Amino acid sequence: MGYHSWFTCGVFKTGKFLTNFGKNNLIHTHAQALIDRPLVNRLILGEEAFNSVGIQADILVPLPWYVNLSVAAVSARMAGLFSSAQDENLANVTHLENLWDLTDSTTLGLGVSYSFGENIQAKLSQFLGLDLSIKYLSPKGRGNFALIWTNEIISGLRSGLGTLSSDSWEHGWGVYSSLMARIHPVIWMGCRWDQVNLTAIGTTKEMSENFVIAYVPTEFSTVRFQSGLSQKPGVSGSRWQSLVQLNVTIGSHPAHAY
Amino acid sequence: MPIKLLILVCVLGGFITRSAVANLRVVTTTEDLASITKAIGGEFISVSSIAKGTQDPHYVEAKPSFLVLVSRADLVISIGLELESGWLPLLLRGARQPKLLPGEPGCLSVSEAIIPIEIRPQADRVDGDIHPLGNPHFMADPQRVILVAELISKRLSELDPTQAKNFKQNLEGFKLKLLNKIAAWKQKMAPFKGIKVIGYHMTFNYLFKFFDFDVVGFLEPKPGISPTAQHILKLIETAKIKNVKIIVIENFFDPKPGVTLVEKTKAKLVIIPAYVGGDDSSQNYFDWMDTVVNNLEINLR
Repeated sequence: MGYHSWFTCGVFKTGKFLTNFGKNNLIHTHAQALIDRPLVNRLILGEEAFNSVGIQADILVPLPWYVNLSVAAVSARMAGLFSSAQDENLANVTHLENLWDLTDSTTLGLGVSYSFGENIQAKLSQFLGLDLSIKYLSPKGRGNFALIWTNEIISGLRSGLGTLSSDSWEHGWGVYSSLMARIHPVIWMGCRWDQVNLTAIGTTKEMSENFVIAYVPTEFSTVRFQSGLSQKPGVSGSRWQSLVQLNVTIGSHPAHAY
Repeated sequence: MPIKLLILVCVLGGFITRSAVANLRVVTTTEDLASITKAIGGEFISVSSIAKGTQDPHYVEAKPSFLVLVSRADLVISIGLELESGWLPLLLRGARQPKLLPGEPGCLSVSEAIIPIEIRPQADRVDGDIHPLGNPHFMADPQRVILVAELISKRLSELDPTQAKNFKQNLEGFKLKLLNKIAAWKQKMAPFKGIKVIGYHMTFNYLFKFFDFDVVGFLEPKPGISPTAQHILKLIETAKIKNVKIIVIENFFDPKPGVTLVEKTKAKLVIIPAYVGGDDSSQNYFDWMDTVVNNLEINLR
């Protein structure tokens, strides 16, 4: 949980928090569109998302549309991403987010993220992310039609982590596209297409397609069923996976970022 | 060179957006508040509303464009009593303006001016989406709106003392007009004192109390929970036994449960705008109340 302090046009956050990298990484598990995170987030940023201890400054750039510049320095000693051996090693995370109201009910979002830091081999790891989203929410509000289309691509390069020699590198990139629609006041339906390519010795490719249906009777409870097919061409055959989740929120109105 | 250009664009962008409006910039959470604030501030302020009158203010999306709007405000006026608790804190926090944080002069909750009804200190989520501090829909009570207008006038005067005299003058004009209207609305509704009504949500409880209507139930089984078939069956029985005259539904809710109720009972369905801006004939507070009162009267005759 981060602690906030305000200054004109900006806010500082300290503590342990989900870093502002891309679109999906910021969303808490219970607020995800599908039950699990996209493959690219899990395989490149980590199963537990890109979260760490550090400090972050967010600045609302004074332009006519919404432009948020976020710069963070966080501990690089988290598993997966950097796995730095030294406590004092820091990773930098920079994110620029633009949002435009196309109409009263439609918003276009475009974001760029970049992170770099020293990894376990004391060499550079760096990650680049691009995201594009379009959100339609009926201005009549609760229970009316809504459509959210989210696309994200993340690429990572870790020097010294290849298996051939200490000079080799590991490269990974992935992409997902998800579409969610509220088709009834209490029912959401959606799907997501994922693909990830990891390169160390040769290339490992993983793909998945998932479908989800969610029953949301109130703001405070959700029942979701997700089913999908995943495959690793040349490594293993296709695999079906189905998940069911009951989600109950306790407390005041849930308040999540747009 | 590109960095210098970017800095120049940012600085100019900020300058242009700040200098475009010279007066006190006020952002309200609802159009009711915007209407009253405009009446008091007149030409000396600029007012924008976040929620539209056609929206349920419990469930407004905290869009980034609202955040930009709030970040450029001198004063944010909200209803309070947790009506906007799902989205306003996000906007206030995201605006990065310390002067707009709760407790600061730039943040005003008008619920401070009134004593609410339906305070539930022992609130439990099992009772639905309730407001423990009281029912926040008090803008439908014109008597309480007088107190709200006085509070807004006071805060505007504190933020811009040079226009205090004008704000006071406008307030007096607003109060005089409202008192005359209150007398007319009361007179119009006087024959219907004590009639039995069913609402959808608790939006009009202050209004029903103001006109001495007797509320016997709601289409929502619990606040914030959509009507269920079983609950509608119970309401049909209640409506028959208690001789309910009207079913009042806010125009942003699905009227189907009300239609079902009307088909099985002698009650009439009244669909009315819940807030200023809720329809074309409700563009300010007086027009909205006129629309509401006329609709009720036509269906109660």
